Amino acid sequence: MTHKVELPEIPELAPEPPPSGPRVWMRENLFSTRASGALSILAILLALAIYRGLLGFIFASERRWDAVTFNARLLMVQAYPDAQMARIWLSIAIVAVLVAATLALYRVGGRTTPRKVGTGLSVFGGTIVLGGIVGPWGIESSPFGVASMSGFLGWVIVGTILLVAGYLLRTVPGERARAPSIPVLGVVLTTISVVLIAVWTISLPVPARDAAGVQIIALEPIAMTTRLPWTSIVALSVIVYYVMWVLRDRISAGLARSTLVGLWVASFPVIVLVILRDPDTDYGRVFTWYVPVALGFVVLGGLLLNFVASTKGELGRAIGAVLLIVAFASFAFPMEFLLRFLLLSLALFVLATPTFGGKGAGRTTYLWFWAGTVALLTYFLALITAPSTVEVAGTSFLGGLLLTVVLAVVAIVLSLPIGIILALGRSSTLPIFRLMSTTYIELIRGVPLITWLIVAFIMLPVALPRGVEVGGVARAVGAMTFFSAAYLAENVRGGLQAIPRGQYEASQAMGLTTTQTTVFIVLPQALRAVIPALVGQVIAVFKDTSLVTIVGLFDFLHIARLVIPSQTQPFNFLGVLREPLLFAAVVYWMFTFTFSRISMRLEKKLGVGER
Amino acid sequence: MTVQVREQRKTPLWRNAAFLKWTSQLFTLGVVVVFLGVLGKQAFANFGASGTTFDWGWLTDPASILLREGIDLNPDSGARALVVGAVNTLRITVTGILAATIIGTLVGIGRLSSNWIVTKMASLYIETIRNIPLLVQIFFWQAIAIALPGLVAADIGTYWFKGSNKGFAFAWVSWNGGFWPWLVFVVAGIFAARFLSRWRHRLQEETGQPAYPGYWAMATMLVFAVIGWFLWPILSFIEPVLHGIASFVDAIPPIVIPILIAAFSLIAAGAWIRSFFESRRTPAGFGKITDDDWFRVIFVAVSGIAVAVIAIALSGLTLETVAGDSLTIAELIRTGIANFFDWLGNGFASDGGQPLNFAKASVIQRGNFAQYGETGAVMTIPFFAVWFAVTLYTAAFIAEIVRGGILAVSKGQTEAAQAVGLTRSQYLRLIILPQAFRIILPPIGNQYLNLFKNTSLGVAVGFIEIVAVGSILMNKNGQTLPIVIVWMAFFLIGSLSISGVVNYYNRKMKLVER
Repeated sequence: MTHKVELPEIPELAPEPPPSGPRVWMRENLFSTRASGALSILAILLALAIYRGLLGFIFASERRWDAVTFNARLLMVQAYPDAQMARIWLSIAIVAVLVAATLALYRVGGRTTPRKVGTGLSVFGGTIVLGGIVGPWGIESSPFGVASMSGFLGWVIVGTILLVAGYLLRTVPGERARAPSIPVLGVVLTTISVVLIAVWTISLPVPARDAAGVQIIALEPIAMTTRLPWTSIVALSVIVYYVMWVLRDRISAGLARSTLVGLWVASFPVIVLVILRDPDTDYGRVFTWYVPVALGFVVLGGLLLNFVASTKGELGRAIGAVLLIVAFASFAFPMEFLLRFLLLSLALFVLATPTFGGKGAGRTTYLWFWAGTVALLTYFLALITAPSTVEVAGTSFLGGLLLTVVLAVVAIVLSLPIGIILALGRSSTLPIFRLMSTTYIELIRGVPLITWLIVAFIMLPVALPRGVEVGGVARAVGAMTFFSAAYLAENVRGGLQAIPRGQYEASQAMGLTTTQTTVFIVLPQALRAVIPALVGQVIAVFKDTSLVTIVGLFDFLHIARLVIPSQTQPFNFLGVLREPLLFAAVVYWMFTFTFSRISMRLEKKLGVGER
Repeated sequence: MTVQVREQRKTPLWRNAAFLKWTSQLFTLGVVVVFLGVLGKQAFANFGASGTTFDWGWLTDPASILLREGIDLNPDSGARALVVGAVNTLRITVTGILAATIIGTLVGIGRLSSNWIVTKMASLYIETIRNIPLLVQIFFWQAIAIALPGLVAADIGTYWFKGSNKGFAFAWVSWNGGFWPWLVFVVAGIFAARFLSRWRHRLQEETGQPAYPGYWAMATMLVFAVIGWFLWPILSFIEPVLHGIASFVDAIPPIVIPILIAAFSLIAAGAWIRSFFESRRTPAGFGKITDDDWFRVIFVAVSGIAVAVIAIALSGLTLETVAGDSLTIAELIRTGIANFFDWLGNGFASDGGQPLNFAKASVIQRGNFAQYGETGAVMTIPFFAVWFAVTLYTAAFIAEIVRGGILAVSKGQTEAAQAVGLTRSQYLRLIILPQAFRIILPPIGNQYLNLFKNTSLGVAVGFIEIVAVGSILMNKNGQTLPIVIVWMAFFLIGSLSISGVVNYYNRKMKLVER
């Protein structure tokens, strides 16, 4: 027996949206349980107290922020001469242009959603409004001439505008607010523009000279002398970015990329050694000694390399071994450093010929590479030995933040090859290499950096032969390089261990030698896997540069902590310690925070943690 | 049928892999040794030209320096001054490791909390602290502390906590005569608690009924501590025993000590080589022993013999002590061991009183100035700056490690724990954290090492740690190389001890795999 069941007509409905709104959000995220609620209230109170304390500290009337604003140049470049400031700007412009070109060429930076940008704006605005409300605004006025009440009002108004703007950005586009439509670089550019506008308009107390040439305090835009260069550099970068963006599809990508990489590699030594240092080159000696020697090495060395590449058997290796011994022996006799270095590199090139020499086009590239190496070595040796013409009060033309950045970059760049060699040595199957690398790495890592810096500053001058002198900056660079190399080696070793055995076996099956396997198969993969760790090392080295203040170099921290608090002329900042230190902390933080964000992006992009 | 056999040519020497391998290695080693040798020779020549000679006499010469804090403010010798610095370093290291672990774990768990504001505050803390150089932070806390108001006559009195530009004073316990005997009771209590808690654990697993092993352990320790508080005088016999051991050690002929060291080194090397060959033995006889294996065996043998020879050769060297008499190194080691037992015995020599004494901090008038009194504990400004900065800094890194470790425990574990009805605190404590601990431990050990090494930044704010003491001595006597060697030895031994402890726990916690 069957009977019919009449099914009711059910209309198809969209699923009910989950309950939302601030109340639901608060119930779920702040007051989910009684304990969580209590914790939330405690945390909110603590956060407000810290915020209020911080504002009270920053805006207290006895704070001497003029110690920072008056010494802005000292903090940045120490005593770099006024007349030569253009060199600094040129250096910054080169780096900015290269960054812009790289961003355009690699199409870096994705798009973000209006929702996220709106949230960011709202949070920023809300923080400002909150500062207006909870700040301990007293009756006295701050050194910036902001009366308490107008300070409060100003904060609230600016904050509210931002808050509302952010809210509108979140809600007005409707569903489109969740679509990624705003380019990230646009947001960055807007932020930079806002900062630039602020630099042009906001006035702060700065030192100036009146008509009679007496030092006075004037209320002027803080970046009076620097706003024009900054603005031009930003404009130049934007132009370069768009030019590269357009050009990118019209030129060979491979050529553009290799040119850019070459420019990046060359930029740093050129900036430090040529632009900032301005060596007084003795051209007579250059043409009578450096150029002929280099030409001789290029021609004769090239012929030798070509000969070695075309011989079979072990003759090439034998020549290389003999040359290597001769090169090492040359260090025992008085001789020009140029000859020693060129001999050493020729020996290494000869030894590497069977591996990389190749045939036909490969050999031509190899010979060009040799010529380039000789030219660079000669050029930089000629530059380094020439005295600097930049006249500064101290011993070094580098100081302040400039010194900090230069120290960090040089230490990182130099320690990378050493670190790779050490890592290869430590994971090698050859026991003596392994033993030496392990000893080096563990000895260096077992002892704090400050000890090595003290060794470099006190022991090194004693251990060097008479006549060889190493300046303070070079000593610090040396100590930091060898220290950082040990840590880098451990990072790289992690990458080497992550390479599956199959890669080695496959390359052996292809008939590659051990060296070729290492250089062409293993290292590229290993380095790619440890890029985030390497950025972490960059951050660590940047933070570690602050230690050079202990051995008396005039880096950023040294000026903030020792130079400014002992100033009595033309303004008395005796004992003003907390303000410059806080400023230094903020500057360091901005650098390292940017790097750590880059590292996180890279990690996501490379998918390192997800394999 | 004829078979063509290709003639096997012998490999020429310059194509022989083993030959090339060892020549290149030995050549590199030679270059490095020659390079270091040239540097060293030059250093000695330069030292000689400047009139300073390389010697260790400063270790026992009167130091005549004043140290600002530590167990001995007026050390009678260079060695003693270094010991003061080392103790200060270790003070910060041990307390800092404890505090950083607690703060770091709390912040790390807080970052994963379901409570929005707690998460945000934890992230803010980590992102701020981690991205500012430690040295800047040390300077900043120092600057904050020295800006505190000074002590004036109106401040005289006793306090639970008092901060001023002379440092921070707080109420603290101090130990008296009965402390060491009481400690024996407490240690015995710990062993008893371990035993009892294991028993209760077994009971719980056998019966399935809760047997409260944790409460049992705590109660046992408490009982032992309370009993010890009253009964410690019955342990007064320990003192003469320890002094007896000390005088026995003093009576050992000095030659025995280097012989013991040498014998130990030779036996250890022999045992290693023996076990190495044993591991190469197969039922069919010895396996192939490659040139690498021979290198290892020779290396171990040479090191063992070298240690033995050095021990015997150096033991005859005489040093002048502070008291002015010459002792050989062997005698010095012997005296050191005997002094250690004497020191331990003196600890047990009771002068009555309770084991522990609790006292509030005080501010007293001394001369024309108000100063902190002897009661309670005082944290000087340099100590505070270094300790606070290092602890917060390391805690930020530990928090990230803890977060990563918890996230690395698979989600299925949480879900399974919830499915069997465990509460959040139960599954965190019993399921997640024990598994996360295994992942967390090695990187946290690295952070402990960093903390230990970072205490050396105290030299920048005048904290009397080993690098600062070394620098002072360097300026005084110009003996840079020996002091650098002492630093290295100290930091290497410290690093090795910390990583030894961490590795021990690592091995213990490791997943037992079949």
